[in-house]
Amino acid sequence: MEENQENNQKKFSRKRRDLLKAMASLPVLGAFAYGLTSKRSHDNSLKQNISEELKLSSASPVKEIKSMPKGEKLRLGIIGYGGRGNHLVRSAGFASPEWIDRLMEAKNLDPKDTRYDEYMELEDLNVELTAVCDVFDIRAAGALAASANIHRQGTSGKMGKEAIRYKSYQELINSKTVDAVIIATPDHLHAPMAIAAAKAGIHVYVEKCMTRTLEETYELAEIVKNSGIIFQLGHQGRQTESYLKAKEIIDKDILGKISLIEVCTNRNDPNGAWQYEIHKDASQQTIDWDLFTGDGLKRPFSLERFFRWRCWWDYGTGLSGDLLTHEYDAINQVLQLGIPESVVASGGVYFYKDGREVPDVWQAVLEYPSRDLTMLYSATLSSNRNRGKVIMGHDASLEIGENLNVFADTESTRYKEKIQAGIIDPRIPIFSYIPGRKKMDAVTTATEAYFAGRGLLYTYINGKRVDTTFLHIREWIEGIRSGKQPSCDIEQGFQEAVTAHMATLAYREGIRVYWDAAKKAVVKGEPVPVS
Amino acid sequence: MVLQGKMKFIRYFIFFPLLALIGSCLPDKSGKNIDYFELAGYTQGTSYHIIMGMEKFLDLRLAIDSILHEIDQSLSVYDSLSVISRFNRNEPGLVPDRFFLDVLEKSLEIMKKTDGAFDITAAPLINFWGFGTQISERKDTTKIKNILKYVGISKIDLSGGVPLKSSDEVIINLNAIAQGYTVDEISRFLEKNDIHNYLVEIGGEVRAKGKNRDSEKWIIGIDNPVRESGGDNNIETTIRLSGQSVSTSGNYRKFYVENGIRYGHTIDPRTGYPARNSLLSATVIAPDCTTADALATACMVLGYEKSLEMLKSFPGVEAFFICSGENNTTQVFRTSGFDKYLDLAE
Repeated sequence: MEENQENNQKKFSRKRRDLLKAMASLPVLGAFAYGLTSKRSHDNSLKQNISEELKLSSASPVKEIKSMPKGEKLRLGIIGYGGRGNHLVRSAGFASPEWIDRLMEAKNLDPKDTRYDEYMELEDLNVELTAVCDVFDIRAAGALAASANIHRQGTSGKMGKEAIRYKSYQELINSKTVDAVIIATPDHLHAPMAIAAAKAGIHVYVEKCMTRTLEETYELAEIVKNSGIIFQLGHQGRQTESYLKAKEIIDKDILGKISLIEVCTNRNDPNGAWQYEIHKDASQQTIDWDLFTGDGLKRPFSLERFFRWRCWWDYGTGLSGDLLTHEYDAINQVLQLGIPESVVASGGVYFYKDGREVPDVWQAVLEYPSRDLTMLYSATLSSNRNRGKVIMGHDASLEIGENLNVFADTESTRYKEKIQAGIIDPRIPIFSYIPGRKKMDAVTTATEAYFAGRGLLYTYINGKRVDTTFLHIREWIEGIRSGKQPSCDIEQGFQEAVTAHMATLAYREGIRVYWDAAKKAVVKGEPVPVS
Repeated sequence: MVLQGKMKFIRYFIFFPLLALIGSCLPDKSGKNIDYFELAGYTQGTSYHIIMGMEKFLDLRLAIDSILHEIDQSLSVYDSLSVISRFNRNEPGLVPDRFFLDVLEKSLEIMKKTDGAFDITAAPLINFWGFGTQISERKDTTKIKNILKYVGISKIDLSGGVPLKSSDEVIINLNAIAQGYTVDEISRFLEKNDIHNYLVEIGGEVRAKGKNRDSEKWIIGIDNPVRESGGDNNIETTIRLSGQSVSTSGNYRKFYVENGIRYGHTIDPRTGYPARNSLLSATVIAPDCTTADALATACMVLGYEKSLEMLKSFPGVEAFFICSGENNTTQVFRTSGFDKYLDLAE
């Protein structure tokens, strides 16, 4: 080790001498900007333009949220009050009193715990929760309690009027007591519910995956487009500052020709592998099993299937519909790739041998030959290694996490001279963006510099932490009031669902699956014969 | 900044500084366009950033790199051949360089004015207490008395122009002032090159002059010592500087709890024992960074109330204190003139 260090020192000293010679030939301008503007090298206003062109400012890409015009009170319904439904309804302003209690207690223990204050400060969206539907009695009761909590109180607080509980989703939709509905049930019910709502002219917010099958996807897209309702697919990643900044970087063509995108899912805990808790009071008496399974799926009662539905093809599509969709949407937001021209996939149940059908280790390769690039999705539910998302260009790579980092490639053509001159070091990011940093020139600290990882649930608007689920719901409600479709509309939903289902199909049948863009149809490739 | 306890031997790489054009501000009063460049790299076991506004581009990377290198050769206790290491080893015929003499002189001055709360001879004490050791394990009063024989302002004499130790066992460590000094030295170099809009930051010690590229006073965040990284901003508040320096010293994650109150691991060089005060971090604004750095350390030893007293003998110096209270609370205190630096745009 000592020897290496000495060698490095020697190399370094020599490098310094060589550089002294090279220094004289460096352009007078900031060298970093040089390569990017070669096409404008004869422009006299070069200096000013470089600054503007390069100006990858550290300013937040998100503008101040203007407060919405109040409008009329919107009547919301919730179908499916499980883990996700809970969060969505809370973001709309209806939290369970017990949840508020917990936050208040946390604040008492540590006044610096700002979650209670942040929740109380969440803008009032002027909505009321008038209808709830859940086949599990306990959850339905929870939804009712939340619906009455219009003042965001704890269990000892003053409550308002409770919603009405409907046994079936059809009853809720036909009740004429809702203007808009949030659907957070297992995937197999998404399409029937959303279709029914759209036909009844009720606006829809549905969780990903939009549908369970390809057929449902076509049908739903058609009906939603014709209905004129405001539709939002549940992807709060859309509201994350990092992605908006990433788009800025891509648009400025800093990476050069992009040919590979790597996105991953890494988890290593039972909850992450969908072994959700089975409620102690769950039974045939408290769960309407027939309503849960929906039309045509008659199965013996199973608590496992009810709570851990993601593990079976009957109700979901595993990694494809649950997690590939998130990654796909993030990249689609930044690169607008659309549906891949072909997909292959493979994997298996390699770790969670608990009787599940869907793979827990799974890879899918999405090809875009007309864009000359591939998107690779790699997932395992039994390793927590941090891989993150990377967009790889010939000249630089963009790592997208909660922070963004752009690293020049050691073999970059565009940055070659700068790298050789030591102006760009491929080990140090040429651009970093840390959302949440209120605009600052420096930080005085006694600790070492570090990039804090932040949870997926929050983003920052001008330095203030805001719940992204709230932003996404808010965008939907704003759309309902203004008539403008939100960011994750039916077209985005369609592309994503088709992509996910192509991958599922490719896996289940062991074939390559193609997308015929002209015919808007999925085409199955032949399995490769072994001669 | 003071580094308590055993220091890991950090092998840092001398990355050639990274330079980038980061933007231009609007033309100044004389109608000249100033471009802003940022230099980044590693030195003294930490990272540094230098933001400079220049009308005419000057590539100062090599020069700045050289200055940093020279300072290491003078003040780094991790370099066995540095001036300070040889001084500590009592090598005969040692010729101290100007950095060493400069820092020593400033250190002694501040040692005197803080009554020993800031003390460059305290290293043996800090090593004795160690890092993360249980306080109760270290009640050996005899050992501490013995170490104290070599600690204190009387142990270094600079009156003859040549630094002398009262005895061979005296060891000095300049980590609590060196970064601030380096910031000042780099700043002086920039000014010599006619750069009057700059921000120099090394390991959290900052000196700022002129305006930033938005033509405003430089905006600096003060780190929040208590909140861990779990989804939080970690910035307590922000200040605006132009023509001052700021330094922060803190106990951030190293503390022990007794009777519900958090105590830091800052060792009081005067007693030889951990300073029993509730200060979690002290941020000092001063006309220069050497002073800011040393005083921030002194404040951690003195605690909030005595710091206020001590700072009266330093005109132009303001401070911001974050103290721990009962039940995991924190309280913030400021000197009377601190508020003029607060960034009220927040």
